[in-house]
Amino acid sequence: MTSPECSNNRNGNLLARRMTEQTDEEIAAKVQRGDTDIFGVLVGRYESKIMRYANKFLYAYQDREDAVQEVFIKAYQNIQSFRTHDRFSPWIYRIAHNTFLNVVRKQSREKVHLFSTDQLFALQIKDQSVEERHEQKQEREILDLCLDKLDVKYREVLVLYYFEEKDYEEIADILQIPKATVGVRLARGRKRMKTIYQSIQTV
Amino acid sequence: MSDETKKKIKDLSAKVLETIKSDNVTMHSRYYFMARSTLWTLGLILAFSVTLYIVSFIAFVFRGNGLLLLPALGGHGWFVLFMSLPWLLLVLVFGIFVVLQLLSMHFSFVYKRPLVHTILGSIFLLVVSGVLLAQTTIHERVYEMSVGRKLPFAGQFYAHALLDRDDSHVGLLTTFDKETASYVFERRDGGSFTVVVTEETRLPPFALEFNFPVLVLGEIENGVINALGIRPFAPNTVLLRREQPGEKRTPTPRPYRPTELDN
Repeated sequence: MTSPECSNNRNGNLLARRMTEQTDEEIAAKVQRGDTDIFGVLVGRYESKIMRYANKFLYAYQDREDAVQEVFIKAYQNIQSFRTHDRFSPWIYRIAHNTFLNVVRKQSREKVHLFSTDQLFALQIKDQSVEERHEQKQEREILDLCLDKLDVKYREVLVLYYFEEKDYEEIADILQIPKATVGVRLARGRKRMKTIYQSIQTV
Repeated sequence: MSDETKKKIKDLSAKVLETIKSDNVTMHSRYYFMARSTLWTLGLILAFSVTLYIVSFIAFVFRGNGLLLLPALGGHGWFVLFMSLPWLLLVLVFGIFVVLQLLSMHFSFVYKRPLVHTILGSIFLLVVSGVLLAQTTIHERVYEMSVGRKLPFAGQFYAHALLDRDDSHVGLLTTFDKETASYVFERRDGGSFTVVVTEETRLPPFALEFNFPVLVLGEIENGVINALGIRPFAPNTVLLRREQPGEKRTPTPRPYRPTELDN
């Protein structure tokens, strides 16, 4: 005979296993239907990712933890705007991106432009080659050294690409810019990153 | 991941859930987002409609004042065209167009494309539909209402639409005097002038018809216009009568047509 305590534990484990089997979108749909507790599963899945994104994007800022907390609270408040047939990841990253930009704006240490000319004439981009992927690890290390010296518009794209390992499509969804603009900013960002790195090396 | 980071994350997760459960945070309802989305769409439609109306009004001004006939009259024609452009309306259109672009960038079918495509696409759509709208009688009817003071709003907007500069005039050539090589010209505001044609006058490559709307370029001196150029309007153009300053407005003014003068 099993004790009620033991049965509760087993039910809890079963629930946890079922949760891990469910997709983010399915869990989000449950939160939309009023299951607040289950939102904790989404927080659990994304907190380390969003924290890492904050640590890189808001490299030189103090209030990173508060900003990350704000991201999840905003996600909960706005969960009804999430369309469950879309992917959850770009949606929450979009909220994170807007929240972090607000932190940057509030502190007025860096310029954040509403509109950039590279959104105007972005051309078609080609997919990343194998060689480029090999270079990625080395570039990530360089980027880590130059984060605080890069403009916001390049930093956001580079961080999402190198540290969050998002593809062009996802980055375009998160930043709400054309996919081609992502390619342009990545190319320009890399160039600037290398120039900054060279100047650091010479010093 | 270090133990310290793991602990930080655990604390953060607990904090988030605690804040959410403490009732200080409420989830916005689905209707809130539906209302917001509807307002956004309505704003976009409104901005587009206003821009379209003004673009069509500019096309009406161009048509009514014969501005597109001016480039054929040489350098002075280009100068008069530049000076006659409705600059205030163009600035207004530009302002609303920027608002339209900002509103449209909220929608994924817009932000997923290069901005230049959206801008050129909207300009094309606005110009084509604006010109088509200007071909209808909508602005003519509103203009008539404005002259008759039946328009509760935008009266001055329309009343100032059909402007004649001192060196550019719209009206009808009624008769021709061979001896003095001059026409009798009835301007659309009711004024009558003598139009002198010289060898330097830029005339169309075909004979001018009487009682047909024309644009005459040249300054007035003692009731005489030394024409630098004359160009007829397109066939079947309805010449909208322009009121004179201080004129007592008639209750039901109508555009006057060449046939009315014949009678």
